[in-house]
Amino acid sequence: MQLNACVVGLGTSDVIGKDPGRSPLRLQFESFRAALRDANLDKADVDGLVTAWGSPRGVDYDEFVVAAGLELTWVSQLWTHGRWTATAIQQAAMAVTTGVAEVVAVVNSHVAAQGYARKLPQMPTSLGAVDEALRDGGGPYGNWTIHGTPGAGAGAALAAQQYMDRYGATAADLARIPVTLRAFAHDNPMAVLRDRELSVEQYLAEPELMGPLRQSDICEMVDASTCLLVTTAERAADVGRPVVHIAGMQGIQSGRDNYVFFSRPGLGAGVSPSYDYVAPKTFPVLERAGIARDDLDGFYTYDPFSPQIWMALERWGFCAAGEAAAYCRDKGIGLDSPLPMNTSGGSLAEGHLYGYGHMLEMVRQLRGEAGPRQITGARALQWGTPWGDALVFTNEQVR
Amino acid sequence: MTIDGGAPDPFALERVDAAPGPAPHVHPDIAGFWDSLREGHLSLQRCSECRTLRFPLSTHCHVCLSGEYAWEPIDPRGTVNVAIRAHEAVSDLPASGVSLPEPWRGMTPYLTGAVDMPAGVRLPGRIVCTCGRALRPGTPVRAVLLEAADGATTYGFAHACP
Repeated sequence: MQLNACVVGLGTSDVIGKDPGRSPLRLQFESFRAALRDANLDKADVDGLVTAWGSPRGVDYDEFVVAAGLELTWVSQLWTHGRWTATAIQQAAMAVTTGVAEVVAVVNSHVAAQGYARKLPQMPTSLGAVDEALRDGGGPYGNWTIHGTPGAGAGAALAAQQYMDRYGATAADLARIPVTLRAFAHDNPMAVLRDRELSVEQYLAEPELMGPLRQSDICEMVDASTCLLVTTAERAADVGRPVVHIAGMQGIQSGRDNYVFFSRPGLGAGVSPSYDYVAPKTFPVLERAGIARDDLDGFYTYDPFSPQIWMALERWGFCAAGEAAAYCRDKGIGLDSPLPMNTSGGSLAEGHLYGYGHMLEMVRQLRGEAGPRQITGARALQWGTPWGDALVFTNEQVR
Repeated sequence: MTIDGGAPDPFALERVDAAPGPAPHVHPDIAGFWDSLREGHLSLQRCSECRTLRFPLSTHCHVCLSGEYAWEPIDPRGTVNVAIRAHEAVSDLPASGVSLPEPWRGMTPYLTGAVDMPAGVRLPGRIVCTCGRALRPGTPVRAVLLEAADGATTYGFAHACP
């Protein structure tokens, strides 16, 4: 079945901030209204909704439906985590393609533990309070609370260390990533670290925290909301905004070889096997979109920790296994590089929008609305994570 | 510890003194692992059908899905696959993607990682090492018993620091 899905509206909360003092519901109204304005649509046009809840607090779908007076025919809810971001958009694309809904809002709101969540009632049995690393089989990052690796950062640190041990990558190599993303953030008025320039020297002066990870390798947790409106090509043509097609997608690749979210396959993260990973020449996401890897004008990945950029570049075959650190050092990931990445500043510098900020940025780029961050002539962009899920967005110039 | 009243048991774990980490949560379906530790062995499940030795702990075999298994002590000698240091600086952080809960927060700096065992599995664990050599992959370490909170026992690894 051909996908028939486009992004026609974008919105963020009026602020993205560490503690702007706004509840998740208020933030979500802001992003939802902004997306409707952007798409010239009314709330009555929206008949489907995908959301995620957390982390630690967000807005449940039913809470928002009641608060916003929506009448929906299809809803879905995941929990707020970068792993589900492409899945949420894929669900919306499948919903409009199959016709179970015509206009789907992919809307997500989250407030951080040190943000507005402090002001909300405790909900101790909610998913947001769960520590997955207490499972008998450990956490989804190859991390184990009882062994001193609680949390995502410890898992990311272990995978990064495996990478650096195996390929000889250095702290100065890793520095290139936060330094570049900070430079992108300088040109993004919404970015939380827009005024905080970073040099390689400043990075290296920061103390190591967990394994090789320093403060600048770790994303900024923020209170914010994002909204994308997804509909069919026919309906999108009526809206009058530049149309961005969800041209290809590929789900989370999951198996014993492939379950640690912050590692690509082959590094031996968690209990996964250690071997020499060779990326395929093409992927279902590209085939579905009808394009080749060389046709891509930019690449976006979930980057709560700097090393994810290395993992994603190798997983998706933009360079060979073990070459990403040198690739980032020699070619870079900035606007003047062969493949600009995470041009909004990403989770590290725009703020941790759980990947939805990247999705909005891809749409802005394909509309030609990215301002000083604009990738000249952008026609096709890919989202691809170290754990194998992907989206390709294209604009009319590809068709 | 000996077996058969004389020969030393090569799989017996030594107990090593170190600050206690959190207590494991033991429930009936995986209690055999912790029972075995209390008896001084690191034991994993071997499938009674296809003979696969498995980790992580699970009620069924990931190869053949059989629910029949036996606990089997494994050789405690292994080599470091990966090790990281949880640095003291992490304990000064406010809540973030890498901040540590207690008791780990109060225990930095410490080493932790994963160890390749001759039984063919890679096991996570804290690594007791004062010289820092265990940070290098391939360094020999051995599984040991460590005290955990509330008088519980867990396992970790120890490097024979010079």
